Amino acid sequence: MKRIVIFWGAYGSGKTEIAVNYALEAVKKKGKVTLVDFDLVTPYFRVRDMYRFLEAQGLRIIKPPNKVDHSDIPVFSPEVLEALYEPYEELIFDVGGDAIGARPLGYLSKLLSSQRYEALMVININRPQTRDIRSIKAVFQSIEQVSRIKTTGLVSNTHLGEKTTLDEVRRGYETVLEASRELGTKFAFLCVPDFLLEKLPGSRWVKDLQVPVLVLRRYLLLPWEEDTNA
Amino acid sequence: MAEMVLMKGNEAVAEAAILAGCRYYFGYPITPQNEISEYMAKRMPEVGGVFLQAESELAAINMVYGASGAGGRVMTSSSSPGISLMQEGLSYIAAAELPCVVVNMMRGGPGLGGIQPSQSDYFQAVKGGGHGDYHLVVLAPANIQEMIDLTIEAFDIADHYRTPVMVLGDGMLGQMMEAVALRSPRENLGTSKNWATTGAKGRPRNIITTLYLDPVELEKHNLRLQEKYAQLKEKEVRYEELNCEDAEVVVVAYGTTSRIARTAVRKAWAEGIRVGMLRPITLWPFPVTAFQEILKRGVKAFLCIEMSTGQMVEDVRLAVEGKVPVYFYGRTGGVVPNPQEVLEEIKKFSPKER
Repeated sequence: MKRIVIFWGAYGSGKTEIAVNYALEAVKKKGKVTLVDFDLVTPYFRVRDMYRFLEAQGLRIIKPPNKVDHSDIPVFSPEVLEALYEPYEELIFDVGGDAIGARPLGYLSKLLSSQRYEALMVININRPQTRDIRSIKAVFQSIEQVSRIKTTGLVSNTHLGEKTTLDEVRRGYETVLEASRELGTKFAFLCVPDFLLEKLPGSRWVKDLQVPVLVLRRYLLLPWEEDTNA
Repeated sequence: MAEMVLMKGNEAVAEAAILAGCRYYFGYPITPQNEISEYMAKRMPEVGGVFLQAESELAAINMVYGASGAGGRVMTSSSSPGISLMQEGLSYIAAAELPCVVVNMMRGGPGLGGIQPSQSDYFQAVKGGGHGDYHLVVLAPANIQEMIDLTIEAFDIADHYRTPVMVLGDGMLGQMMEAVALRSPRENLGTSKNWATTGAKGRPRNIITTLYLDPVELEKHNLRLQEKYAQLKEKEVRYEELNCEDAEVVVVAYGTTSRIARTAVRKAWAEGIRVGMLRPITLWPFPVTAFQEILKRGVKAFLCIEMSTGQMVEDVRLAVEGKVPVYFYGRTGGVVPNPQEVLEEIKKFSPKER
């Protein structure tokens, strides 16, 4: 993967959870990994809501400054610009949802074009905005338009929370495979929730899988959920 | 089975309104419920409805007044400070006996407060934040499926009784996602609005007013409203009981805190503590009879859990009529209690061993 990895997509497609999982995998392999909370539109369930835990895992977190990180004012830290010029650091961006969430990245588009980056669109076909190829295309195009950054890959993250079955994962995989052909954009990886991992080898379609798998563990829990991994 | 979709609470409320046949939405943005307006802005034109961002919450609620008077299925939404601004309009709408649905995704107060979840608008919602002897019907969903089901029901109750209905959620319920089954859209709304101001050609004119200068007339009007409220109390109470059959302590919680209480109650049971939960789904009318039933079964105490400094606890005490102690535990300002804190409170008030 490239030094800079950007996760974007529709609201609630799972960008934050994927960025967190991806960053925690990366920090196991390499020394310096920075996770940027670039979500300037969502008021809850953001990287900054769990930054202490992530820092304890060895990640560097860039988030809006303390005084405004609980506000609904769209600001990002100047540390982001500094980090873009730090060649030995792996940089992972968790971007806000839809085109409106991707808009602030337009500010960085000129800086990014001279860098090696991946911009990955996360897709959950169970979300109302991206139910089929047509609507996936619409979100894809609107994000590229406002951010002025080219999407370099697609991530399939189809799930229904705790009700997810392997069949759901397969439906998402097949749709994103088709979208990747239609859009001429590579299929970067497929997300599978950790609780389905055991069932994975048993399914025939998994044997013909054409993309890598990222096993997702949930970190952003609701206040009443028990951390089954703790 | 209906198709499953993964939805945020805010999106679910908006889609539910569309499914219920709502074709007019007026609102003004405020965190943490902006997804409702955003969703409506996209969806209303698709179904031939009206989305309008008003210049303020005052304007929005009065547009609701107008659209409802003209016979439309209409909704507005906001969060705490915005709902405060709508109180005058709500009193007028209740007085004019107009149906509408108002969604409040509560955030921390008072004043501007913060943008994290809270339940500190309970008094405002159930005791009437506006002036005069009126009530809102207040429905409190606790999961995203209920956001859909209760929003649809809110429109039906509003039309049937000609009364404003509030769906009372909070930022957590608005922002979190769960898998939901959507229903098929309403074709026939089944209510004739022959009172609406739709043009009086060929029939006597309809008048919508809240002004009754003759005190006897105004008293009559008030008594008619009270009759309606008595009917609502009799017919529209909703609640859920969990493990209340032989519980010694019963936890009372609604919405988000009921989810937390549920986890705590389950843990307490595992430790051999006889604890149940009573979850009011209608906050007004309050499920008073449910308390009386539970009292008959020999409960020793109630424990009220809220994200406020204690508001619903007053209605619990009224329902319990001093027969057993009513304890309270709450967090406020956008702090969400965790199941462990609630479990410790349960232990404090429970007899030691089963």
